[in-house]
Amino acid sequence: MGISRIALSSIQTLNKSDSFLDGNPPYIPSSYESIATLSPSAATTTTFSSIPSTYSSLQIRANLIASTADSVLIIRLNGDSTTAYSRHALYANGGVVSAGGTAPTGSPIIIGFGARGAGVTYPTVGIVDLIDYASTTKYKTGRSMFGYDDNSTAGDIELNSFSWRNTAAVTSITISIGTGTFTGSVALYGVK
Amino acid sequence: MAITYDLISSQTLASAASSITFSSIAASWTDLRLVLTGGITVAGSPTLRFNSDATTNYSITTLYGNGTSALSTSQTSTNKIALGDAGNSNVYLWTVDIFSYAGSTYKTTLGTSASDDNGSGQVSNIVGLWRSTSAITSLTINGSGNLKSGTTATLYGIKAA
Repeated sequence: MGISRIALSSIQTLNKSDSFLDGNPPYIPSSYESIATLSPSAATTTTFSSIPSTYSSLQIRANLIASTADSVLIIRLNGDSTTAYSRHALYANGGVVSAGGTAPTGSPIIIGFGARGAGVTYPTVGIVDLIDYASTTKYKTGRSMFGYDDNSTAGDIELNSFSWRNTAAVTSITISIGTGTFTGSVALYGVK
Repeated sequence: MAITYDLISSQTLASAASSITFSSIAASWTDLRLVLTGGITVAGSPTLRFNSDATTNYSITTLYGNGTSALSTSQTSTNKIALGDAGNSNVYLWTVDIFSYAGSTYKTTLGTSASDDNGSGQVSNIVGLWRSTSAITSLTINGSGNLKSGTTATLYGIKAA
């Protein structure tokens, strides 16, 4: 509605303000942003590409159901399938705690696995943190935590550390499965 | 870029209580993250239930260390998710990530616990399962004994693009 006339008394009683933002909550930029989400369906691989270099770290949150039990998740950076990866893991199945890993020149492409005990009904969930991914002077390092439970004594929980001996900025992340297919969601977040 | 990681609600106990409940949780996010800091009146593990379900729809697999050994246990067909053992003389930390809480698949969680009592303590990682395809609209944290005064439970929502 347009204002045609304002009484002097109304003006005199108005609260004075130095900012047009007064009365509104301040805008605070988030330090944790959603970059992209993939929804693989019966897929063998899924890829985040064109990842911007505007964050300090990346986080992947995955909720996946595998088609084949005892499969593994494989993560590759920038499509690199050489032996530039290594990994150490601490994992348990409800009875036994084990530790393992790959030597620097060992298993070439696996930097994290979390669906080792996955069946076909219940989701495997995981969180992967990749630190300083946009650096062009440092090797890349990160960690992951994955878990699977199916109301049996065949659950699986895993902690992984990994490194990628490459100084290139990470611009793509490919997640694939060792055997069978996977369905669910994989979300990529940026942390400033 | 979509902005995410929102505070949904935070509750701090003014006096000891048996439980803290978050209800009417909107389906606005992709995942939930629960952070619990405080104490319990009886050494043991606080627990978590969804939608007031007290049936045996829960199970967990745990990896933990107690300063001496690395151990793993599982619990099947339980009526709650254990968040990790702690003592009753200090302040401790528990976190739980609840994935696709509003979806129609079974619900799997990832939890951590950290407790230290200057000579004893435990660090845990726990995967939990709630065998229900219902959307989670409420969650209840129960203490071991009671949750002590000053205990804070904070619920965050994480929203994917």
